[in-house]
Amino acid sequence: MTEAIIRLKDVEKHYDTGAGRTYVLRRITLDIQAGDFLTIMGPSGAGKSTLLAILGMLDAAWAGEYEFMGQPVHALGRRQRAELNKNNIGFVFQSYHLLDNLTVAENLEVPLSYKTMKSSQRAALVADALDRFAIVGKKDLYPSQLSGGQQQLVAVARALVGSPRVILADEPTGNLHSAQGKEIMELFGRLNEEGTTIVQVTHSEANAAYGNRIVQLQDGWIASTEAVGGKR
Amino acid sequence: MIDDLILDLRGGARMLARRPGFTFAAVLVLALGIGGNTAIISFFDAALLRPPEVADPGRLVWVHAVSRLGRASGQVSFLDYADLRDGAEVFSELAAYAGGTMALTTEAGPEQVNGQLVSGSYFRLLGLRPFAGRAFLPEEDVSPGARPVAVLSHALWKRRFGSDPAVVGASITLNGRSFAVVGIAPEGFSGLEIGEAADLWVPLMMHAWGLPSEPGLLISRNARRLTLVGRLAPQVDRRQAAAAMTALAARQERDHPESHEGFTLAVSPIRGAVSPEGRGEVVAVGALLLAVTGAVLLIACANVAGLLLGRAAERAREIGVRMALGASRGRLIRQLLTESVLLALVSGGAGLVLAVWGLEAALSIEGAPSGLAALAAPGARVFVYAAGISALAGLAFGLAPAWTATRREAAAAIKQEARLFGRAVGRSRLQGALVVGQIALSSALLIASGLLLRSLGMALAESPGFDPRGVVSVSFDPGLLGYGRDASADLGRRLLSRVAGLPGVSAATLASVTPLSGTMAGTAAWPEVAGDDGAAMVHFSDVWPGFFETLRIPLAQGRGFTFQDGQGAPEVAVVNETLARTFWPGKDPVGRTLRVGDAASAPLTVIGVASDGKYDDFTDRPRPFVYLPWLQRPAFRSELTLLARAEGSEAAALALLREEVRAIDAHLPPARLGTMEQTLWQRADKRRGISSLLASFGGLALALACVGLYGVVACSVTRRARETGVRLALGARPAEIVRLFVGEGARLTAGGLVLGAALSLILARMMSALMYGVGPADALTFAAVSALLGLSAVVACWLPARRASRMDPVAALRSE
Repeated sequence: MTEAIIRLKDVEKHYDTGAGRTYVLRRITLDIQAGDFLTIMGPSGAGKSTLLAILGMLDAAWAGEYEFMGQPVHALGRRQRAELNKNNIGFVFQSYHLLDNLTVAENLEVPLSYKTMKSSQRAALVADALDRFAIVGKKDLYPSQLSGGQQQLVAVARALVGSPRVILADEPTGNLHSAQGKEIMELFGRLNEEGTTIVQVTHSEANAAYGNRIVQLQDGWIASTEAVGGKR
Repeated sequence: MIDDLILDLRGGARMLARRPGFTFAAVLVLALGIGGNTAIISFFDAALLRPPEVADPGRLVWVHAVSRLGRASGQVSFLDYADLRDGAEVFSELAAYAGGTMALTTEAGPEQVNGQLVSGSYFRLLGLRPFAGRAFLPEEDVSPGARPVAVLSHALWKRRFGSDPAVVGASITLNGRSFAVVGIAPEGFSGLEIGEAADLWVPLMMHAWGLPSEPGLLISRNARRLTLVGRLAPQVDRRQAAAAMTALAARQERDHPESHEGFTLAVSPIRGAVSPEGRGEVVAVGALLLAVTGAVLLIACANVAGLLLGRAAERAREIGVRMALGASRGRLIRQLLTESVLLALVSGGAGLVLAVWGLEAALSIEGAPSGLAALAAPGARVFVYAAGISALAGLAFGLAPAWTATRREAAAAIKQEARLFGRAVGRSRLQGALVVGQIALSSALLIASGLLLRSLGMALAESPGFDPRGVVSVSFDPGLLGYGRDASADLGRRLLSRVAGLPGVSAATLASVTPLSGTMAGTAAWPEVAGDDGAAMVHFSDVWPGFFETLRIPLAQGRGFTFQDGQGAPEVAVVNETLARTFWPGKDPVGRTLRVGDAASAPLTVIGVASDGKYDDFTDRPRPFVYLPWLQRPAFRSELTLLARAEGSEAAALALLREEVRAIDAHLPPARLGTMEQTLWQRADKRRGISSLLASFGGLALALACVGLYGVVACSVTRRARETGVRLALGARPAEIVRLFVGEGARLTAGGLVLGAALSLILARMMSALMYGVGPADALTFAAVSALLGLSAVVACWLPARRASRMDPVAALRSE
């Protein structure tokens, strides 16, 4: 049995409103094993993206326990969480969120610039990623000069350039047409086969089929967890 | 680290290039703030810090006398200089100079020029190579009156002699005497001091011809007229030189106790172009200007901080993404600060250009002191300062926005963009506070300038105690040409009798000091009956018959002077009402006596009481003043001013006066020709200058504050687009939308005005010495400035508010 890379216990998040307290997540208890390809699904407002933000340590205002690779995230300060995040997690967003004023190559370099790394090593990793994703020809273009699919490809390359243990993807194909979406999902599948743990949020059954487990959220609660065979 | 910095700089540069509107606005605002500040620092640098352009300036020192209070009082006598020169081995060379007005006569007529009497070592010590000819030889400064030679400044040679090379070796007429021109000084050199720009130099030993009105210059230890410059001997440092000077000063005090009690000497480096005794005033004026430009820079920083805060909301997504990609908060703050500093440095470059333009423009104004060209050419120190203050400003205006932008968690920041249209986000409190601060500071500057302008207006509206209309004046100094007292009296009589016969001149007189001319003479006076305890400080002028009639100074009692009040006649005086009240309260002063200048002097009988007037400045409070008959006593200076009341054209009368002075003596240069009203206008120059400067900076501050306010309201309009759309869809009229946003700006403005009024009250109390006839809480000034600011603020808010009111509600709602 593989070791859990992510372990959540009774994680809750709420907002205080004038009318009282509104819960977004309720008692989320979940283990994600290294090498998992987990899909989080559920209707709008179920708390999927919120859960992903907590997993990615982009949100600290929640209650409960969260262990990442044995480290108690709930007990860490902002700086330590940022440290853990940048060394182990890659994030892919639905809207790509490439930085408009940087070229493709510079976008790939951004996460590396936040690590202690020599510039020659940085350049080598960027070159590798450009090669691996076959976007060498586009390295000097700006995001506005790329199609949506190409932008998401760059966003995935950016998430992977630092060789993270876990990739978190928030509706990664939400803004792409089906052929482009398929291409991205197949890429995720290959990465998962190579050992990267992937957690995705999606509404698409087809995308969920690329994973090995589906967690259904409903009004902030985990409604069900099911294993799936995977398309690969 | 360097790689990161390059990455940040590259990103920052692109960010600025992609938002040209924002960049232009921010650079303009900051350049105005940094430019004003840099111009003042450039002035400080040239006046106080920059070494003169002479050989090895680091080894040059001022040697100056110091008063008991430790303040530099400056100059020393020739005899002291001779002792120091011969006794101090700490200097390889010691030079001395004394400035004075001289009469230069050429074919174009006589002209007053600024001359300097210098020791033979002067040019050698400075290591200056003449532009043409040679400097003085040692033997030209040995025997008094032996070698009448002169060196001309390059500027005088160009202006007065048309750059004629034949001037070297030819003779010129100075103070009616012939001097041989031996050389032309290097271009740009006009002495070591700002405001004392020399037109020519003659050897100190020629003082009897060069400064004939100061006959004691070479023989009296009390004639402290020389400024000393020393070059430190090899292996001697300033401390050793100072110790040697202290020892020499002690010896002087011991040897000459009657004239040198408490005499000490100090040594200070020659930096800048102001002698040690002039530094105090420069520092005071510069400090005021620096405070004002500092306030403007502060407003500029607050303004750009406001703009950046507005942009922080736009950049929320980028910040969030960077956090998600692993950036720590410190790293992001560093990146944002790098961008701010880059923006500030670009602005600093533009500011430096503005500073140079501003200084050049200021120095080209007619009447600006000569020899200030160095101010407009900023040196290396000014560049370093501009870069430093820019970087500091970048940190100052960048820190709060960077702090705010990175405060949120990444998830919230990424979502922020969507939320902007999702709900009505109120403006940031910090942004509002910055606008309030800007309005407060600009209102304080405007109120301060308003109070000064009102003071000037009040002072000018009051009668100066005489009627300046139609009075023309011309000054001349017979002493320059060696006229003694009797010869001057004779010249004056002849001149007045000629002028009295001129057509269009109804009255004429002469005086040693005219009211509000900028020159004042003061001494002690005693009412004869009382002992020393009754002494009072009085100011005085030596005047000729016809003085009160020409200036139409009303005589409350008695009479003015006549030609009968001459030597041998009973000694008399005319006092003003304040002096009469001070010495003889409630009694008739006419016929009483007083002593002036010396308690043992002959008593003067009061023959008249003149009404009070303004003597030194428009803001004078009534002060004791005594008029003394010039013909009866030795005047305190040789210069005379001829005053004439013209019945017709003042210009024609002036031309006639000039001709009459020339007719009396062709070598006598007329100076300061003009009408009395011009003299008065110029007398108010300093106050007008300070008030106008404050008003200009206040106006600039107002413009900046309005830009800041505009930015906040425009930001609010963008943030509340959806709310505005809903309101319009529900039937709100455009005027109501305008009122909504103008109201938001008006609340900030009101806060700024209240804070500004409190600040102004403190400021006004601090500068109460400069105010006249206006209280520090002058309601009119406060109300006028508040109205001006309020109106400008409403316009600044109305422009974006109008845009909101014209919004298409469907488009606004769809954008969600």
